[in-house]
Amino acid sequence: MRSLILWTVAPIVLHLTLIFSIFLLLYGHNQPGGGFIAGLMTGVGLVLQWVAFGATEGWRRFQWPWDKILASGLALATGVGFFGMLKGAFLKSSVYEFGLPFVGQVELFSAFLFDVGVYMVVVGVMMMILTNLSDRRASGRRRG
Amino acid sequence: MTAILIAVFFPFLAALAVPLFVRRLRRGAAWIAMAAPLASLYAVFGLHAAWRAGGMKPLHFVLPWLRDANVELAFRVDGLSLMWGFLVAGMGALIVLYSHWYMRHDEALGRYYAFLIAFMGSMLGVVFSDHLIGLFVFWELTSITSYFLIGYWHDREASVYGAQKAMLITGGGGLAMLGGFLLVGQATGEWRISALLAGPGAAGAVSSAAFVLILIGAASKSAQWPFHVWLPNAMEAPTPISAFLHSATMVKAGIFLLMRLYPLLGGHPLWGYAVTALGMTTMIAGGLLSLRANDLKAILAYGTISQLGLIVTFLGYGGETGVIGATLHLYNHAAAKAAMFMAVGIIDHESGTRDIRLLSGLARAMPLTHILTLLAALSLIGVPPLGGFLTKEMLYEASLHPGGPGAWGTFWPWLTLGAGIVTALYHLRFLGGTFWQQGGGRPPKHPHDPPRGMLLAPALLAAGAFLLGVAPGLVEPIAAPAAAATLGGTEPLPLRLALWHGVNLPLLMSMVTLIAGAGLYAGFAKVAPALDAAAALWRRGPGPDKAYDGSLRWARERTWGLLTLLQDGNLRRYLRWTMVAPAAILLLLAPQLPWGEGLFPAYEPAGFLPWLLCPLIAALAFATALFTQRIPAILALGGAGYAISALYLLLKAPDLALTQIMIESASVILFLIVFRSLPELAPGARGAGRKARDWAIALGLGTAAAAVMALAMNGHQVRTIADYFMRTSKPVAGFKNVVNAIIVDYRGYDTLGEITVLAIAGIAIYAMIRLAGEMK
Repeated sequence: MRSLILWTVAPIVLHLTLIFSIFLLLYGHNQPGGGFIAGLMTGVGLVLQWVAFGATEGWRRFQWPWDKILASGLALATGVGFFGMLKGAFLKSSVYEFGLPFVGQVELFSAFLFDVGVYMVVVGVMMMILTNLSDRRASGRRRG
Repeated sequence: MTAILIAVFFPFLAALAVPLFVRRLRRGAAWIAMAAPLASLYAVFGLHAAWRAGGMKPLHFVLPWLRDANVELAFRVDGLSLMWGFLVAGMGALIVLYSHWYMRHDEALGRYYAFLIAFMGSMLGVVFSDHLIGLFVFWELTSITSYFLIGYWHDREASVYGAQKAMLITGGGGLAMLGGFLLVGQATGEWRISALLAGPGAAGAVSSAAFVLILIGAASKSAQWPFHVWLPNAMEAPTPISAFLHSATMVKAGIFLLMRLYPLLGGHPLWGYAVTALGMTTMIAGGLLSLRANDLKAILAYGTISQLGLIVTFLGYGGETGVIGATLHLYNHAAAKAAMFMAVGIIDHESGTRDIRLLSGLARAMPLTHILTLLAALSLIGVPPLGGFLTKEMLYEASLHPGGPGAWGTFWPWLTLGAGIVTALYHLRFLGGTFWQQGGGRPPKHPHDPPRGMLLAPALLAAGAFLLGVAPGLVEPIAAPAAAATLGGTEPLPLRLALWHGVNLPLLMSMVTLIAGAGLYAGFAKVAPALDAAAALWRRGPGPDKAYDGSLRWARERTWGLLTLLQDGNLRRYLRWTMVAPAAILLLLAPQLPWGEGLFPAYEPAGFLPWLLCPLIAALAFATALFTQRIPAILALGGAGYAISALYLLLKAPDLALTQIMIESASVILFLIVFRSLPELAPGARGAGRKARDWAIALGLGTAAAAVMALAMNGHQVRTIADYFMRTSKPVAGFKNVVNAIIVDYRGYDTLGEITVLAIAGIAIYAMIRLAGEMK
């Protein structure tokens, strides 16, 4: 889409959506949010770049190993499940509290790591589909 | 606890990690992979020490798994599982060592070692498991990993066929076994194997159905007749894999099962007849088939079938002699068979062929290989003073005085003697054809002994086969408790091992075996045509191999019909089925649903906005259907979605609203990206009849969905569930956000399942797009 406004705004929006999605991921356990929504949010931010810059450019910029991100996310979530077995049952969640300088008391939930896994899977799947769909279209156009 | 975790689970972790290192360290791949069997072996040593320190009482380790379903990962360390642990991990180390030389020029080493190690881990899981379900899970894992190992060269049709055959037969047998386990578990209410074995009247707990089902599982895994057909096809695997599958793992899992459950199954009235007959049939059939094979690996494969039959026969005879004989022969066979497989791999490597008709006189060209193969083969024939001699004596002894019930008197010793002669004959043919005969065929390459390192593993194994004979006391500390544990006790059995028992009937039978075997081998050229004729006649009849192929073909044809009925490649038809099916089910069920107070429960919308939004949503939905161009239709659909998310917000469901907004944005953009590659909408082509049908489908599904909603709002369950989650989400899950607490904690299993499905769907879409791109 040839639009100066979109070209200017899209990268800024990407940063904002990324920050916001991390916020959603972190706040998921007390406020609206969580891995699933955060993953969608990141995905939408990235998808916008496709809209702004076109498939070829988007593909060039974000040719990341999405399949590996997807796989690691699934492995992380499963790993948290197995970790829970040591605590009593598969996927049993546990809480750790510890102090961090400048931040104060932090609670780390094993469920949070699970959520991160969900996040990675959602982003990975979205981007894998998107990059491949647009890649095929791009290559198809080049040929035809 | 740590030791058992390392022994069983470290291989799986290593299997994940190894491929990462292999790419960088191509040549040293084996040394990285070696970490897994060595760690497991070390852990087994640790367990052994702990077990000895505890006065040889079984050790138990329990990891909770699915607590509500009463399933746990329970492990038991006793004489039997320790012996198998040593066998599996030790053999794993030797196989990796040998693979370093054998596979060094191969591609995809990461995959090779990863599956090899994971397979070893599964096998260790099987032998240490103390819970029926856990045992089953590891059991099927061995089937799956061996599927990948056998099909390692996946561009060869024969490899794929062999892998699939092994998977279907052993995996299917595993399902039969699961059925047997469920019957036993249901009947006794006990799932821990140790508790089952120790329970009063353990033998009576197994019904005949359960007994037969478990026996099918064991027989299919251990390639007993008529399930043996998968094993020769599994020879398509790389030779080190064959050596591993045949010597210490996979095929021995069935035997392990029979040994582990011996106190439970051994008392069943069918045991003596069924197991002995099974083993004996297998032993003789395997031996005869081996005589007909020409590929060295196939000769050994049928030999393995025969030897497995021998061990099962031992167990069928039962009693102390039977169990001790089975235990010792495990060692014999593991060491000798692995050594022979490795030798065949070396011959294949150095001469370029495995066809016995092309080989001759290798004894002179490959003297070292010859010596160690000779040791291994003579041990299995039962020549003194090698290990096999001891166990052959025991077999004859056990056939004369079976310890278990159901011996058929004078019939068994004769059959056993015959099987022994066949064993001697096919091993002599293997040795003679390969090493001794002069001027047979001409191999493609000029053969010579391989690099010393490649001989290391088989030499160690051949030395083992030799030592077992001359100094049988060496294995006594491991074998005696194992035999005792098989019989259900903890006090080590005295093995009374000695080469010389004095002149008795078994010794006489041994002599007859050797003389008859040698005599038959000398006259083999005259016997061979008769065997050929018999084989040709036999092949004409129905056999297990034909039954396998036939049933596969039958299933394929039947499913093809069903498949083309439901999936003909027309996307619109799929959509139609997906919509009609739930609508039809709901509408049919409607009269029986609990309607309660009325269709429309009291509902107080928050303010006037919902009254605005609902008509808007409806209007946009209609518009989506009525637009004849894609872009307006997509935008209208997106608009409806956004309006719904506004409704969620008003009804105080911010999580849902946020999700809905994200989904709508993503799907609208995705639609726009792909819409150019979609075919044109062709509304004009649709006749009135089709339109009416589509309307009917839409109305039906809409009504059904609305009915479900109304039903969900109806009644009081909703409030109670909400209260429960509100009350417990913070103390139980540590979350204030109920929605997220449900997703990641209360229903964490569901989420894990969902993201797995999501990942699989993503990969499937990826594959489909790639495939479509290639087909263009």
